[in-house]
Amino acid sequence: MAKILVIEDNEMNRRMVTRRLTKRGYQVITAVDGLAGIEATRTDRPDLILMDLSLPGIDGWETTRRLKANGESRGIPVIALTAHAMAGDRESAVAAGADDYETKPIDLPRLLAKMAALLPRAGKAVPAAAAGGESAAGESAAEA
Amino acid sequence: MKAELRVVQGESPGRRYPLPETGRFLLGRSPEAHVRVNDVCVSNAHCSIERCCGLDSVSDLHSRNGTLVNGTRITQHPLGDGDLIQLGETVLAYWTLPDTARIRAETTVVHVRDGWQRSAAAVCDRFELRGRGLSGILQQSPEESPQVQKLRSALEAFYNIVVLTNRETNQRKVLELALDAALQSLEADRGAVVISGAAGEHGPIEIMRARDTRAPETMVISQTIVDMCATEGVSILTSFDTPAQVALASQSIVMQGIQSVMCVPIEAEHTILGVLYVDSTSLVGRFSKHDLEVLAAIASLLGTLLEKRMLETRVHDVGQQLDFVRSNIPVGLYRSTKEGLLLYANEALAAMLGHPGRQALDNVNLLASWVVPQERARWLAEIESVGCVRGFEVELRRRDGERIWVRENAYVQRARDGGFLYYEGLLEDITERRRMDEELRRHRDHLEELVRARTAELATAKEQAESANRTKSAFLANMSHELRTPLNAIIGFSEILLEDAEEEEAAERVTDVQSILTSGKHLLSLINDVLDLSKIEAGKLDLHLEDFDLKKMLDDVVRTIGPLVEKNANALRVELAPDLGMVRADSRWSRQILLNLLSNACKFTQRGTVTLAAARAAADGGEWIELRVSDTGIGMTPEQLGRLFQAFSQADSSTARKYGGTGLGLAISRKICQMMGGDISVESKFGAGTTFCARIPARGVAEVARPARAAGPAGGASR
Repeated sequence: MAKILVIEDNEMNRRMVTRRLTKRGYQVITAVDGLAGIEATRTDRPDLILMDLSLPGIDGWETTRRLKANGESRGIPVIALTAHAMAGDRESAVAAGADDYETKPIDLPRLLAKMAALLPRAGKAVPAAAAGGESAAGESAAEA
Repeated sequence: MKAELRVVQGESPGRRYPLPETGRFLLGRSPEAHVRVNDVCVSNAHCSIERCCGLDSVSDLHSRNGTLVNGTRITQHPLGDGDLIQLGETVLAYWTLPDTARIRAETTVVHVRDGWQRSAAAVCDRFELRGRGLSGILQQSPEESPQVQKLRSALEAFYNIVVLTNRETNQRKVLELALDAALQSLEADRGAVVISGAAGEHGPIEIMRARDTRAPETMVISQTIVDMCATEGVSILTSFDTPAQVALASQSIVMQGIQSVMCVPIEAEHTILGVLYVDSTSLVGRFSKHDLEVLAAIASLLGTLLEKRMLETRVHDVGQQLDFVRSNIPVGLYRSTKEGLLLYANEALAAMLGHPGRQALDNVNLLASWVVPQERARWLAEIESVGCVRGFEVELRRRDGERIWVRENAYVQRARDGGFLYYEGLLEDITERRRMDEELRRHRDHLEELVRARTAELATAKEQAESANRTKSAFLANMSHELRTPLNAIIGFSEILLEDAEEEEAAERVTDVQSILTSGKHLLSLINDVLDLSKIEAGKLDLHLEDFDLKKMLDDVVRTIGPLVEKNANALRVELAPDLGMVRADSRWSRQILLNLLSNACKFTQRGTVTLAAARAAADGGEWIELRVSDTGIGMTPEQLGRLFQAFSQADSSTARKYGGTGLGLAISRKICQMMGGDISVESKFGAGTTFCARIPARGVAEVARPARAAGPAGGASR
């Protein structure tokens, strides 16, 4: 079972993501800030990390940089999540070492598709519940 | 022609001043004067002798006490031998000098009653110069008494002519005097002077005189002889003593009983001015060749007199004209010494400097009125180097203390030998002009100051506006972040609840949770739109131009819009041109714009047709892609059309409630379209439908217009 580390300071969101991913067959562990995230990575060896960028203390970018600088954790895919949608957020996240990027609120099917694309790289199978049914990249017509 | 001035009365009587061959000769108290007269009554530059074209004349240089010639005050006067020039107490005589002075009689001057006259000896000098025949007579038989008699009588005639005519102003009188002298001297019975219209001061003159009592009116002279003499310029001497000559003589000669005739032309400068005619009715062979010479000499003298008078008249006229111009020209004129002492000033200069009249400026130093006397060095340097100054602007102090600005042109007047005569200057009062220039400059400066101030104000306002805009953008970015975080939870948990409800098949709960989810998503799209718009306005929205297959993109759009088309039971018609090919634009935004237009069309149309048409078009020297979305929906009134592209403006507020939408989509679409170098246009008919047309450049736009356009008035929103 693929193990996902959710680093997120907002309790509500942390719980929501945990529930939705768990429901789709993932094992979810959480951390409330960057340092806790790095510690959890070291101790629990997750297969993929969902990284909120605006964290208290050391922020998501710095946390990502540290994880990617470490030989042990370098191979773990990181998907940056942010409520920031200003231009350059994607670039700065990628520059910090994130493997992909997703804006909040989470479009679950799209996030699942991105996770599914990265997990095989970490040598992990995608849970059947997550891989099936949902169509990827479901962009809807813009509301006018 | 050599000439000289001799001091007749004054400091060193008898001193001679030879006149230079040509040019100007200055008399006055100035050390620079050629004839320096140390007399307080004499002005610095009192008068000058001008030698021009063989004619010498004396000009008064506007001296205070005036210059007198032969006792009469003159402005300009031609000079003849023996003329007496008086400056103050000093009197100088003018004499031309013979080239070979065989006869030189000393001139003695006697004071006669009210004026100055010359002795006969002076006249002799003159004859030697003109020398026509008299010397011949003298040489031929100096000791023969009749010849000497003749000579005396001739000399007398000349004396009379010269002396008596000199003060005679009437030309006719002059001629009469000369004719009388000739008749007397030659013992002729009758005589005539005929002068052409060109030489007569008041037209042609014909004077006839007889020595006896015969009335001149009854006189007739031979027109043949006069004509011959006048037209051919020959001297005629004839007697009617032989029958052949009598036979040749005209009726008039016979009738008048004329025995002998002499007729000579009166010439000046090779022009025949007229003829001098004498005859004798008493004696055949009355006149000898010597008599003819005497008559010719008298004619020559008359010619010279006439010529002199003609020149005098001309000089006088020119002088008067000059005086008129000098006095009336609104330009200040002056002559000054090297030191700036005024030798002459005209009325305009006097008025300029606030003096009552030009006389008040006599011997005034012009430099004293210079506000900045140091400027003179520059003036002098300029005039020394090129001989003149042009457009020299200098400030002068008037007599009343007021200051004026003048513009000066000045010249050095030099004698032929290069010697300095005086400075001559023209002054134009430019105070008013300068004042106006100054005023204009002040106005301009003031205007510039105003513009500068206004520009600064605007810059400040702009800075404030930009700052406000930045604050707004930052605020919106932060707000959207703060809004998204709870929204994230709302949407996420709604989806969890929806999934649970669906699994439990609790239909009512599904509907309720769907409402929460729909509201959350609407709020999210509203936030997204506001964020996009603020990015556009802050100039922070970057376009990513790339080449993409237009048809592929359109196919994808048609697929995506499918559910919305079906929602209101509409039909979608797709009309794609076959040659769409590759396009260079921001594909994500092109797609978004198209989806926006299509979703609008679907939303406002019920059971109708929505048409998507795409084609290439050439216009304005470029290639364009035209994307046309038409519907058969509710359409818009002109008023609604007018507000169409304004942010947060749907056709009316109730529309939003009925049809949903943030009211920002069209505004964003249009701005982005403009940023790509294109635009969106719209046509609509109320109740019949609407057509939107988005035009974008097919090959990208050279410079993707970003902030300039995006920062415009909060334009364009959706319906």
